[in-house]
Amino acid sequence: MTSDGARPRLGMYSAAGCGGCDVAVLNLGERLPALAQTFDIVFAPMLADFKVADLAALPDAGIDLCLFNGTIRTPADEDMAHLLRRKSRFMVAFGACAESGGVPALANTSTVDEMLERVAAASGASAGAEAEASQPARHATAMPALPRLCPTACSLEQVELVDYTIPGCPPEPAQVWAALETLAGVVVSGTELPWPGATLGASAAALCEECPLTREDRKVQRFRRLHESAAAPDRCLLEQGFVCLGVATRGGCGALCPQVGIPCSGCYGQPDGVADQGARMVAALAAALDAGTTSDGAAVVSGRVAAAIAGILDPIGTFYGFTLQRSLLARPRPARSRRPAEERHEAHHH
Amino acid sequence: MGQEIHEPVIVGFLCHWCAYRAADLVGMARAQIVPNLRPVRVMCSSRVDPELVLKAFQEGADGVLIVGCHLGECHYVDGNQRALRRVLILQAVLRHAGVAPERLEIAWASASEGNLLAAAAVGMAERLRRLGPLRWPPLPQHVGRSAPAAVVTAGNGAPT
Amino acid sequence: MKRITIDPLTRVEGQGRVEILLDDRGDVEDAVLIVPELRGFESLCIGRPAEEMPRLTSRICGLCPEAHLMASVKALDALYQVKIPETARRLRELFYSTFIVLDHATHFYVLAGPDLFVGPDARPEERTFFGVIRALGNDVGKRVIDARTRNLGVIERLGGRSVHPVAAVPGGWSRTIDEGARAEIEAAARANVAFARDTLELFERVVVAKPEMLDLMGSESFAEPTYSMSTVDAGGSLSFYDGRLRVVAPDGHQHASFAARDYALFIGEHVEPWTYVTFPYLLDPGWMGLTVGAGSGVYLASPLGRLNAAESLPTPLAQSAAESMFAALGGPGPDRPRRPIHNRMATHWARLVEMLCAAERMLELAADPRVCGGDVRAELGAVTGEGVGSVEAPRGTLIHHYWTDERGIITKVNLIVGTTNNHAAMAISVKRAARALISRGTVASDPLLARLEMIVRAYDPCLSCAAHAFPGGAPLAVHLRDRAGRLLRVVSRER
Repeated sequence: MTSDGARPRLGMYSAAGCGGCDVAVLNLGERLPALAQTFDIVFAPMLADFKVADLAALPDAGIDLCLFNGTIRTPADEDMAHLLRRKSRFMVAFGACAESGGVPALANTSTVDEMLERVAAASGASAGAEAEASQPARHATAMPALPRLCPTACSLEQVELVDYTIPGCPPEPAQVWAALETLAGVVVSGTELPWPGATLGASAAALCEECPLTREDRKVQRFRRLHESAAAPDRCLLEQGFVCLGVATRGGCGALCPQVGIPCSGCYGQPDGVADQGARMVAALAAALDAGTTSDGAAVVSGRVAAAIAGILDPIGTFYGFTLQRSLLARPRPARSRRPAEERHEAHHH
Repeated sequence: MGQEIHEPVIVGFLCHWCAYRAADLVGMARAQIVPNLRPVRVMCSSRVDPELVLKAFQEGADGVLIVGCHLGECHYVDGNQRALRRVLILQAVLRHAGVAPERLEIAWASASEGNLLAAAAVGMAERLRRLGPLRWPPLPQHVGRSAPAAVVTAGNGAPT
Repeated sequence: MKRITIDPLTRVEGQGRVEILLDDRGDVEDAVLIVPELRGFESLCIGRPAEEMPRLTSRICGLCPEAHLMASVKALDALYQVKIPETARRLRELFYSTFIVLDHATHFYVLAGPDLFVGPDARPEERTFFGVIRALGNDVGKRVIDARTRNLGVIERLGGRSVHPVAAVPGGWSRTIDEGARAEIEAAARANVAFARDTLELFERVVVAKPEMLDLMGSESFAEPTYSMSTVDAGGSLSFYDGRLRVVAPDGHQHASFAARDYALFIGEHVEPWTYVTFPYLLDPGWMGLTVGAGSGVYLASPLGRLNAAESLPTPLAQSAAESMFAALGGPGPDRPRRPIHNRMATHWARLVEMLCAAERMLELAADPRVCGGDVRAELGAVTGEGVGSVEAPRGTLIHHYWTDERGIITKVNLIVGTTNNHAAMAISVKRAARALISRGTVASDPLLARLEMIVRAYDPCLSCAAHAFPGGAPLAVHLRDRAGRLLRVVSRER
C-alpha cells in the first residue's frame, strides 16, 4: 500500500522507558538484516542519528509504522507522542509502559505534590515562612530549565490515539518479529488490517494456557513471599502458594519466568476479557485458597483469609506492577469524547 | 449555613434465592425502604466478580453491598463462601488504594429475613454518610499536561 | 547569546541532549549534557517488598538490567545477612560475566561502531549498525549478531529471560543447571574468547592503526586527569562481580580502598539546580566544581577508570591486552609500572580489554563442573533493616542501598548508578570538547556536532540509569519566602 513502492518507513521512540524495548528490537538477531531490508528506518535515536528536527521535517503520515515505547512522564514525552502520531500512519504502543504505564506508573500511588511537600517539610520550613516547594524554574544563567513532570505517569493511549499494541516488558523477540511481519504485510502488500486497537504478538488467553508447569488443583493455606522458600520445579506456582499473576496475564511469552521458579509478575498485561489485573487476581487467589467446610462461619473464614493473605503486603504493587494505568483503580470513567473505534479505523484506511 | 449531606448511592448485588426475595418482602411489607440501595439481582453472591465491584465504584457507587444466603445454606453449596473470600481479599486491596474497606460489605439473609437486608442497607447508608462521597479514581489522576507547582501557604499569605 | 542544541543525543542508551551556549563573539560560553527524562525509582520503590527490588530496579535500564538485578540481590543478601552457597556464587558470576561480554559488544559494534568504522563525516543514514556491517563486511556482521544471540541465549538459560532476567533471589539463585547446559555454556564462552580477541585485533588493525584515531586517543584535548575507581578482588585485580572499591589518584597512586557498604563515607553527591542527576565526587579531596586539578574529587568509573584503578586483570589474555594498551597510550611512570590513561577516547580500547577479561572469566567458570546442580539457595537470616549491594556495571560502579522496616518493606532507597559516577567527568568533557571544536566563525555543521557526540559516546553513557531519580530523592531547590513574597533562602538537597 505504499504510494511509490518504496520500503515502508519505520520509526522507534522511547519516552520514559528503560531502553529494553529498543533492545528487544535489536535482539531480533539474525532477523535484523531482514528488518533493515523490509523497512527504511527514518527515526530511531538508539540506532540512528536522525534528530528531532529531522522528524519534524517529515511529511505528516511520513512514517508508516511507529513503535512507541516508554511511559508518558513529562510534557516533552507527551509532545513527542503527539508529534509522532501526526507523522505516523500506524502508531503502536510497544511494551508495558506504553500499553499500561509499566513500572514508572507505580509512582502514581502518590502525587507529585505529595512528594514535593515531603521535601518542603524535610527542608525545615519555619513558622512565619512559606515553603514553596516547586519544580524549579530557570537557573539564574541561561542554563536550560529542569524537566517538569506530568502530574500522572500515563500510558500512550491516555494521551494519544493508538492503533495497535505489542505487549511485554519487553516483548519477546519472536513475538516482535511476528507482529512486525503482520504490520509490514499490511503496508507492503495490502493484507487486511488487524482490527483497530488489536493486540499483536501475544495470545488472547491467560498465561496458564501455555505454562508447562503441572496443575494438580491443590489448595493453598497461605500465600508466601518470593524469598520465603524455593519453588518446587515443574509444579504450578500459584498452587504452591506463590502469588503468580499468570492467571491474570496475557500469554505469549512462553511462561519463561515460572519455568525458572519465579512467579509471573504480569508484564504482558491483562488478557482479553479482563478489565483489571488486580480484580482478576483477587478472584484467582480466593479460588486458590483452601475453602474449609460449608459449616464454617464468617468469623472462621475471615480469620483464615486474613492469615492466608498476611504475606501480601503491597497489593497495588504486586497486582498492578505493570498495568496501573489500565486498571479500574486508576482510570476515571471513560469520557464520551473519545473517538469510537470505527472512526479511528476510517481515518487510516485509504 | 446548612451543609448539604450527600445521599450515598449503594449498589446492592442481591442473590436471587434469598436476598432478592427478601427485598420483595421488604417492598411488600412497606417496611423502611432504603432509597439509597440500587438492587441488582444475581443468581448467587458468587456471581459478583471483583471487577464488577470496581466498576460499580467507577460508575458512581459510594458503597457496594453484596447479600447472599447464610453460610451453609447456599443454593449452589459453597458460592457464598467464595464470595466471602473474594470480598475479604478485595477489601485489603481497596484499603491499600486509599478506599475505606467499609465501602464494600457482604451480608447474609434468608428469603424471609427482609429485616436483615433492610438493616444492612440502612447501616451502610449511615456509615457512608459519615464517610462522604467516594472520589473515584482513588489514585492520583490528572491526565494531561503538567499542573502548576504546589504552593504550601501559611495563614493568609497569598500564594507566590 | 546563541544556543546550539543536539537533540537528541543518538546511539546512547536513554534520552540525552547537548546544549551549547555561544557568547556574542561566537565562542563557547558553556556546554552541558542534559538528561531530560526521569522516572523516580527511589520514590516509587518505597512501600514495595524488598524481594521485589531485583525485578523493579531491572526496569531502570533495558541494556544493563543484569547489573541492577545483581546489585539489588546482593543488597538483599546483606539485608537478610545470608551467605550464598558456593554454587550459587559461581552461577551468579557466570551469568554476570556473560552479561558484560554482551553489553560491551553491543556498545562497541552497535552504538559506538558507526563512529569508529563509518566516521562522523558520513551521512546520518550511514551511521548505523547496518552501516558498520557494510563497512566491515557481512562476515563480521554475522559474527557480531551471532555473538549477541549466543550470549542472550546463555542469559536466558541462566536467568530465565533475555531482557530483564529474573532468577536472582536473596540467598542465591532460583534454578540450577545440569551438565548439558554447562557444556553448552562452556562452548559459548570459548566462542566469546575468540570473538573478543578478534574484536581487539580488528580494533587495533582498523582503528588504532589510523594515525588520526591514535592521535585522538592520545590527544590532550580529550584527556581529563581525574581520579579513577574500580572494584577489585583481594589481590587488587579487577572484579566485575564482587570485591572492595579502589580509587587511584590522577598520577596512579592508591588514594582509597573501602568496602562498598561504606560508600557514603567516601562518596558525596553534589547537586546543581539545572539537572536532577547528581554529581558524585570523592569527599576527600572534595568538590571544586566541574573542573579537574588539585582539590577536585571528580572521578572516572567506566572501563578506562577500572583499568586505571585495578592493579591487574584476573585473566591472562586480558592482562596481556591491557599491557599493550598501556604501552601504546600510557607508558611507565617514574615509580610504578604504568600511569593511568586519561584520554576518554581510549575508553573504547579499555572496553574491549574488559570484554576479553569477562569472556575468559566466563570460560573459567563454565569449564568448572562445580557450577552444576547442588544447593543454590541458603536460608535467610532475620531482616536487619538495611542492606548495600554493589557490582561493576559496564559503565561504572553500581551501588544499591536499601532501608526497610521490620517486615522487609522498603522505606528508603539510595542508588549510585554506573553512569552517574561519570557525570561530572562527562560534563567537563562536553564543555572542553565543545570549546576545542567550536570557536568564533565555526559553522556548527552535522559532522562537527557528530564529533562532539563521539566524546560523550566514548563514556557509553546509560542515560536511563542516570534518569532514575525524582523529587524526593533527587536535587530540588526549595525557595523559602516570607509572607511578602521576599525570598528568604534557597535550600537545595544534598546527600
